[in-house]
Amino acid sequence: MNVDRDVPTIAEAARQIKAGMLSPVALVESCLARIEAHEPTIQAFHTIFTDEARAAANQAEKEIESGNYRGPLHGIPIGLKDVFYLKGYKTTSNSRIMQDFEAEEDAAVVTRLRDAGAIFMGQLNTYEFTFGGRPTFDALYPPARNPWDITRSTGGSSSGSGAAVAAGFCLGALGSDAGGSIRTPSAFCGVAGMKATFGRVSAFGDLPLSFSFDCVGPMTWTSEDSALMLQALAGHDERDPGSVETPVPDYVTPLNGGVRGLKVGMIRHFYTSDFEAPPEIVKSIDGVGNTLRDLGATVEEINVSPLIDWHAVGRVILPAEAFTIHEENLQNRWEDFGPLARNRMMLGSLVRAVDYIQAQRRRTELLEEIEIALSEYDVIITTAMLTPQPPLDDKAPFPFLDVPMIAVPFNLTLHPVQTVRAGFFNDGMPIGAQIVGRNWDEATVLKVAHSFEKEAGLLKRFPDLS
Amino acid sequence: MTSDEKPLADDDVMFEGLIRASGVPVSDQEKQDLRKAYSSLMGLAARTRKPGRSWDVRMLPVFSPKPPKGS
Repeated sequence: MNVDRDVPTIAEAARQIKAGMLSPVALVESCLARIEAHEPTIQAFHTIFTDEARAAANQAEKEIESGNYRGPLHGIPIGLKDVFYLKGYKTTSNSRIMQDFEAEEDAAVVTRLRDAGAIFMGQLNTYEFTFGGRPTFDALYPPARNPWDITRSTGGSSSGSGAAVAAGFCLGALGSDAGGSIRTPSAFCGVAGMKATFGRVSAFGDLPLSFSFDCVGPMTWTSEDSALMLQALAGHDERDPGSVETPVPDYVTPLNGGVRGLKVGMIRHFYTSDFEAPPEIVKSIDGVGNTLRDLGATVEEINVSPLIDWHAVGRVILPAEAFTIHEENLQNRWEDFGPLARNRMMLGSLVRAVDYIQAQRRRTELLEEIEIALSEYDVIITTAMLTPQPPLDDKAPFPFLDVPMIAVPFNLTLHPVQTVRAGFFNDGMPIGAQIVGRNWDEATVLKVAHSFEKEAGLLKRFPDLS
Repeated sequence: MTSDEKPLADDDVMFEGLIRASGVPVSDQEKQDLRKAYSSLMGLAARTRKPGRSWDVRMLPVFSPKPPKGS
């Protein structure tokens, strides 16, 4: 799987576009050529904006040539998870329930990317109503396939986003995350992904899964690219009740500041004793700590409550909120849901008020543990996956009940998390790690992630699509 | 109740009642799968309880009114 390819990162393309050495038209055409060649196999998109992308690329080129350069996302091909309002198009969340829904305005993040000059390549596949666990085969569109091995899952629910970035169909993509839906496909597809602090990026126009947890964020090849996208996405939006009015710092300039002197806490028991992850995962995640230590950080092992405690809280709260959101349609249009998604949501109907409130109280206690840890450590590191990428056709209805979900802890605590590629399994499939930071300190998280990526040199391996 | 004991809520009558109360027309086969999932879910819900938890531990978020304009 060590195949070279001619797909720049956002940072590389931006430098070349700004210098007049790369045309947005040529860049979009190269993405479209890759899509034409490989999308029938990968199935990352359900709708490709071929004509629109070409027109936008021409427009971007004219603007840039006339001196109206908007910034590093100008002329950059981006994919949109099919959960974001997009005026003029259906937003379906891969469900027959929504197949005729057309929003009257763009989602906030779509507007921000549009204003930054990004070029939208299409709408990317997701699990039905973004309820994760396993891909849904019984929804409106077929599931995306992992470009590293098309028989394996991409992870979800930002499944198409992970696949599209890994395959080079676009240079970045939007995802959403309530229980790992950016971080799991990022890890499974070997790309970078950021779940920012809850309230950092507006969720206006993002079809919700969970009021308590939903976050929107970028998925990109590198953490530098995540920083470039986050710079455009972040900021207060009064249309989102969860959005917080707090200054947005510079995420890009500090990237090369290094990690010397930083304190890193490793939560190893999540993947060594609470759940016994395969040796390749243990080695890769430990390797992130070792690399940061070599770069001058202090790295220590830390302990928090067992993973099952975090998992329990997430598994009570999220289905309850998902069921609440979809209650009316579940009662009246049960047959229009795919069976996998509808039964996952039905779990929420089985959560009593007292269960929900006790889970939220436990959440308060767990959040305090991470706050205490981050008062001493600048970042926390743990794994982004506990098992290898499962087969694509694994149709277990409730896999997330019995195996803890490693991404969930930081949905509970609201902290920013960046997923980075940390290594590979012996069969060549990628392994991802999570880097967690203090609330509102995405800058340090991204700096640590970027430092690791540069030193580890793991991003020069690409999936072989041939 | 110890962690090895079946949670009180993991009960057929409770399950059937919750399904009925949901108003959702679940098939018999789906109900069978959901009953097993319900056991797992109640096991997880039991884990979120903590004997002797302080009354001060509130759920997130804790709502309070916005400050008056200009303050």
